[in-house]
Amino acid sequence: MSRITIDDVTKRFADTTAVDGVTLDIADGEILGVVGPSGCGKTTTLRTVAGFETPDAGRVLFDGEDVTHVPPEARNVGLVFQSYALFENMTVRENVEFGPKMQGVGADERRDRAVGLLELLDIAALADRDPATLSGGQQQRVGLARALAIEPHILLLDEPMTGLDAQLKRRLRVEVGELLADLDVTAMYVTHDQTEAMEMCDRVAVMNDGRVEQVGTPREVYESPASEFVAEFVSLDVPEFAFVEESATAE
Amino acid sequence: MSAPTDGRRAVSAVVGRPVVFAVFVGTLLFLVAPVVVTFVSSFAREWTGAVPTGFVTFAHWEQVLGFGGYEDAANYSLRLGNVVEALGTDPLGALDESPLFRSVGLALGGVLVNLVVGVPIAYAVSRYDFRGRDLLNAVAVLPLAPGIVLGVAFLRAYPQLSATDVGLVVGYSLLKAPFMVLAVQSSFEGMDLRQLEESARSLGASWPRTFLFVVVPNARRGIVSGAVICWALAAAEFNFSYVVYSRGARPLALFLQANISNSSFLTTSAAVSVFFVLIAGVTLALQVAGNRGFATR
Repeated sequence: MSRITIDDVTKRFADTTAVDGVTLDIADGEILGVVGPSGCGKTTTLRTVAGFETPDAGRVLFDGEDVTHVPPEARNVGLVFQSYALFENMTVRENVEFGPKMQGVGADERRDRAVGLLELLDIAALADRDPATLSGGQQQRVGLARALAIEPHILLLDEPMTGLDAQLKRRLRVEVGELLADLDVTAMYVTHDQTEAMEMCDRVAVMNDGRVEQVGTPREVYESPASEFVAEFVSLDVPEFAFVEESATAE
Repeated sequence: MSAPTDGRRAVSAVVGRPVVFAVFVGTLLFLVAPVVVTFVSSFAREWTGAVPTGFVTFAHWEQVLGFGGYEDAANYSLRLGNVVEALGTDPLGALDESPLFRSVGLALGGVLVNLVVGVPIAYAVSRYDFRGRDLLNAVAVLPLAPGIVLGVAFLRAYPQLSATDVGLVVGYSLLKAPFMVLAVQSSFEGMDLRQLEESARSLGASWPRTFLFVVVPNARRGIVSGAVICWALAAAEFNFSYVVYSRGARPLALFLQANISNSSFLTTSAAVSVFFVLIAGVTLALQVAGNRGFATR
């Protein structure tokens, strides 16, 4: 487990400021949703945590340790992309074993991990398939298994369900939400779909124009938006029953 | 649909398919016929009338491959015996004995240079946005200039390379680089390079390992087809070879040219057929290698 601290991070590209003084604290084992319209800086924030962008100002800390200049391959952070980005030159199993292999984990242990994860994600039958022959939902499961195979303390998900159809999305939301809650990982879940974030995440950060407008539990953000922007953004087709259910079980 | 209801069909529907089919078959026959005729006639004893006669003989193939004593225009005698004997003691010298082997080897050298130089260029151009990117791309594709032009320029700039194998290899690689770069580039552009790389990096692979284990194998189709095209074109390159070559066994194209003017058409047919067979073989082999994957499985 790991606590993620994003400390006053600013990132500029040429003449635009993609991330403008963002400060976020993600607690151990927490799932933080980062939502906002496209171009709001949410993906750049995630890439800074992953190590693919070096901030122009500010720091990124894991468990209080400054990792701002640690290269991505040394951060042990799991990453799941919208485009799945599976390695098509490898089978499903080889994809999952790739991370442990790069980290020097022995062949037996790699295999055990891969088998376990493929079972956990309900795709054990696909182990020897070529990723290109899988459906979008199956590919995303492989992507998730691959990211989890390095046993990361931190999992970053960048619009992982955007390419999937609505029905599949609903099912995966529940499954992935439960999976993340069971695993001991701290997760950052970037999406433009506020419904998804509100259903799956412990807290939600709403971003606009490179800044964080509000951070809070889905309920807080929905019921007492801090700004007009947040109010407008979260009120877009959020099914109210999600909160009714939640409060019913809470009482 | 908008087809007329009185049973008549649009003219294009009636004529379209047969016409397209006829054009296709016609073109195919026109293009394939020379290859077939050449291949078949290389086994004939004589071709004095309308059709070759006296099948089947391997004499021409034997001559071309060096089984029989064979004299080319420059009185350079080629005997397989010499080649085989030399293979044991002096393999490189043995390759020098045969125009065919020599061209194959030199072209392979050109392909290797292109793999080392062209693949990274194609990668850089499709992956990164940097100052001078368009310039690099243009330079990589520039050698589409004819071989004779490059050959003359080459001789002027590097007179010391003019008569050497290194000169030929470098020239072949330069001349054929665009085919490698374009093929590999199109392969890279068909995938999300950035996300692939970042996945690999986040999984603990350093940049060099990411490049070797993920980027290159994912582009293997482009690399294989680029290599095949480069190799075939380099092995048969005439203009550049003509300008730069000076000693040793002649590169295949020069050898063929000398034979077309000095010996029977049938022998030349055999030489050309050897080349056809070689290209088909190499292409198949590389395809198989490419489909199996050559780096990680």
